[in-house]
Amino acid sequence: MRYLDLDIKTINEKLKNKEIKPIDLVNEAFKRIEETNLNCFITLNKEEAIKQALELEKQEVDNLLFGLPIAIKDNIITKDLRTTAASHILDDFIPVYDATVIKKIKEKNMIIIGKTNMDEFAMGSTGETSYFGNTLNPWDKSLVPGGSSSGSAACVAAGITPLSLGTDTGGSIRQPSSFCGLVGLKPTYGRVSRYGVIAFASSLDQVGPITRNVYENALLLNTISGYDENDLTSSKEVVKDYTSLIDKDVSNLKIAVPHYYMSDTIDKEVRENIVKVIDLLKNKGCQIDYVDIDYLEYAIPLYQVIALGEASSNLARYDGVRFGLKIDDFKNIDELYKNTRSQGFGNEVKRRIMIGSYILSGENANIYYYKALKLRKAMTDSFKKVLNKYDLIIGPTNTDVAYKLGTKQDDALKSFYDDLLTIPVNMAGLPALSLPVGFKNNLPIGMHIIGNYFQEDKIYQLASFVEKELNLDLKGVK
Amino acid sequence: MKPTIGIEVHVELKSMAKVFSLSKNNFNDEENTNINVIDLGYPGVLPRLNKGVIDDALKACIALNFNINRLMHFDRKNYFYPDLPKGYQITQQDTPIGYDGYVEIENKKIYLERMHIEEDTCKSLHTTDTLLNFNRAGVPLLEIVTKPCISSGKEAIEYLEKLRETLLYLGISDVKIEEGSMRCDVNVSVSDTDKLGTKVEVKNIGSISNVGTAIDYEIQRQQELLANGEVILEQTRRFDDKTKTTILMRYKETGNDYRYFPEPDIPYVYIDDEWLENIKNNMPILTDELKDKYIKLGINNNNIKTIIANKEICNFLETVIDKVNPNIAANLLTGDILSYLNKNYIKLEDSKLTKDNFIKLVDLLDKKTISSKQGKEVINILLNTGKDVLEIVKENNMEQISDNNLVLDIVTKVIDANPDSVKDFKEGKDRAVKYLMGQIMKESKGQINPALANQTLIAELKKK
Amino acid sequence: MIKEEKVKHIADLAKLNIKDEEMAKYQIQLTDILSEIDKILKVDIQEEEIMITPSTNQNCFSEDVPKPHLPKEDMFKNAKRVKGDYIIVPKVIE
Repeated sequence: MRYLDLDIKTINEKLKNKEIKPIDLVNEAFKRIEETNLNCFITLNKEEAIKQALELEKQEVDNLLFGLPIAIKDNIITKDLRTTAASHILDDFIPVYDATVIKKIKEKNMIIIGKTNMDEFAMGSTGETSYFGNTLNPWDKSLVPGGSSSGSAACVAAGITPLSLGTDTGGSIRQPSSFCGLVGLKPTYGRVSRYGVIAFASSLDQVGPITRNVYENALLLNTISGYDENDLTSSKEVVKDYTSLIDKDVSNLKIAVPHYYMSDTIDKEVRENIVKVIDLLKNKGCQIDYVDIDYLEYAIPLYQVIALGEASSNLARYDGVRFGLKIDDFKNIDELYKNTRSQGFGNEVKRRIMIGSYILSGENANIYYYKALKLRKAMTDSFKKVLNKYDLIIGPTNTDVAYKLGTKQDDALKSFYDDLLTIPVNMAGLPALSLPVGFKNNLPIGMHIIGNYFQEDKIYQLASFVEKELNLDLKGVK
Repeated sequence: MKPTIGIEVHVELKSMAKVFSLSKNNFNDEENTNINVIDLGYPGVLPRLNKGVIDDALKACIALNFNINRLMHFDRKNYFYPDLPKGYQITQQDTPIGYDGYVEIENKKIYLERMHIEEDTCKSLHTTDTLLNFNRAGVPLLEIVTKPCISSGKEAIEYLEKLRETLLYLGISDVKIEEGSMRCDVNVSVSDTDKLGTKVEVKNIGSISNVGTAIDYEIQRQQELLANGEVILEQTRRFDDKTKTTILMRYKETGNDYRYFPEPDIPYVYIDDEWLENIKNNMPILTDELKDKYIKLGINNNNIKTIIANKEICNFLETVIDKVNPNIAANLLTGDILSYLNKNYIKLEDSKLTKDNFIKLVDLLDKKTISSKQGKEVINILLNTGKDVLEIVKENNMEQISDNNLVLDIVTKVIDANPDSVKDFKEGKDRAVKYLMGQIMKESKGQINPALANQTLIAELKKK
Repeated sequence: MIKEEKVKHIADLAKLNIKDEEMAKYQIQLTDILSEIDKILKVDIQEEEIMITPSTNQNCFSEDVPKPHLPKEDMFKNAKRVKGDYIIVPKVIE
């Protein structure tokens, strides 16, 4: 029996009655990292974690997350703990401050086990663009775990930590959660502070929880949410108790299913699984209608313009001057810039910032970028129209289940098409969750639940019902 | 051939904190001490927005007659340069806080295209390497751009002086061009048709008068080139202070590609009526209003100019002007006091002059208790020692005799002692009065009020 | 297919070098993405308002009061070329 396989409430009981100590959990986590060998982590925080666990022995167990090991995606800034965003350009970067979410994690006395592997600067959908090598999917080591939060998903699926933090710009929490059979939430834009999150696309990025079940996901969201004066886009909307609607009756919920999410582009078995859930909900008494949401078909090019435009600007600061990769072969400032960036960035990142720079240059800004900003408004309004009538929108998270490592790596469009169904949500800034609802070839299928702004509680309400009804065996992980 | 000139001015605001971070706004502190993770563009940081900077910009909008963009956002201007830590500058491209303003100079309005808020870059020091001082990175700037409506160096100087004066009196900037808190770039073109000529930019001009010199030089240079049938290429030049000419820096490439786009990290700013009214109700008095007031008070033009040009003198005058004779006060401040300050390189606030003492001194002069000559002596002592004016006057026996009875006593005494002079007066000899006045001054040890003594003497003589 | 010149220009905007052997790959990949992006030019929308961010915040300010921050030593901790009180770069002359 491993303590880390128990649910959080049970672990908490055992910590409270001194049956176990935080150090037991930490030791188990590090042991499991070695056993599983999934390349989940870029940097381990072993020494600090052990020290902290021992110190916690003197303290009262004052909250449900006390003493729990957690893994943090490596694009979230951790003071004195190397933070690389999986890029060579930052591979010796030691931050001097903590991200706001890290402060909140530390306030709860959770123990950071390490910084998880990811696609470089969160650009990718498989974990394969990492400078530190790809992450393996614990369900099948020959498969991608999904990305960009590849390590954060793989490590929870492998039972290394019960919780992790990921970031989601176009699907980077939901897609790997779906591929690894986990619950992953991208909160409403502004629900969680972005201060200390290495920016990929500022108007799309959000930090969110990846967990084994719905309740624990809501618990972690409770902890990381809230207004932060350091992030002007963070919301002053009251932080609810996001667990409050869990296990509440769902029969009154009105649910929309966009045709776009059930089209032929989506794998048949995946669709069939979603239909099964739809039937389940109908039987329960939920109103479920198929709807159209305008402009969804433009989500990928729209995302490319906005995300890459912003990224080209956000990544301009990596120039080898104030931090980051040191190179010695340059004769002037231009060579310092170009050589640092060419050696420091991987191909996916280079390609993306080149596109981003181009679509903002000269007349293109008007032709592409401002057009995209208007299209974004129009797409968001069409989401709002549906959410005025319905509580939630559901569909699949992804077009298919996890696939082989090394598939179509030269296809510049593939990583975008992987996020076909997740990208629109980031465009509108809505909250959305991926929940495992079945299997194809023994690999988990994720269902997407999209909610209205700041109504994460309703998402959890539906998710907890489906989770309970299906009662899937997700311990397929070796 | 008609010249057309436009001017871009950058002004550093003297807010307490920087504009997009809360480190201290003081470039002059020890190198790289007023810097935080935001100023250095560290991974993960996000901008803050300093409300004080927007307040200052609104004051400038009102003073410079701008229309105000009530709903505004910020934009990113992207380019790579070592003085730009993030690789982009946060500025306002789409929605400048002010648009379509103007400044009145003598006989002309200078039309202003726009004014926007942006952040300063860090200061580079060029030795064998380029050294970066990030204290300046993130210091708030206002960029103020004229329409191309200026037609001579003289007009440019008038505009810049008026602009400087206005911003100085708003109290939002030091506007010292020599120290870089005000920077001017000018665009000069010359054309003999209705179409505008090719724009030549002149940068790096270190004083307002040199802006005029640079413009006039550039107009002449371009006119000569055109007269010789030569083509002018779009270029950037810099002003050379030694030769008073402009020197080519570089030809313009195919337009700078700044890849502007709206800054997603800073939400919209909406300036509502209440906010604007609040700013309007708290505006300091500006120079046009002060000038009108001083003219009405009868202060002479030269003094007014001197007062306006020296804001601390003006501020001081404003604190006492309702309590004293404004003319005497203006004379003292622009005369002996200003020259003392200039000679000793000290500021008024650092001198020993206090408001109370100044008021006492003006009153003594106003009531003719002391003569203006004595007044000068008092000021000297006062500025050097800070002693109480009344004490100085007493210690130095300067108090004038102005009491009618005392004056009459002395006059009678002198008349009685000089019957010959009385006789001379009766016979219409003018020198008699002069002689008697001399005797009176002697008798009073120079302390008698001369005007009163003269008046009493003549009255007494006429009685004889 | 976009031309080599254009790839070089784009790389220059992003301050990147393109090796000769990478050129063909970038030509294909950038062409693929740019033709995908071109799809948004075809969409017909009446919308005139732009959406910069999903955040509906307005007027998020700090008061004009400096806040204490980390010392210079921490600020310079990750810099690779430091001389005395300065971070340095190769000489740039205007």
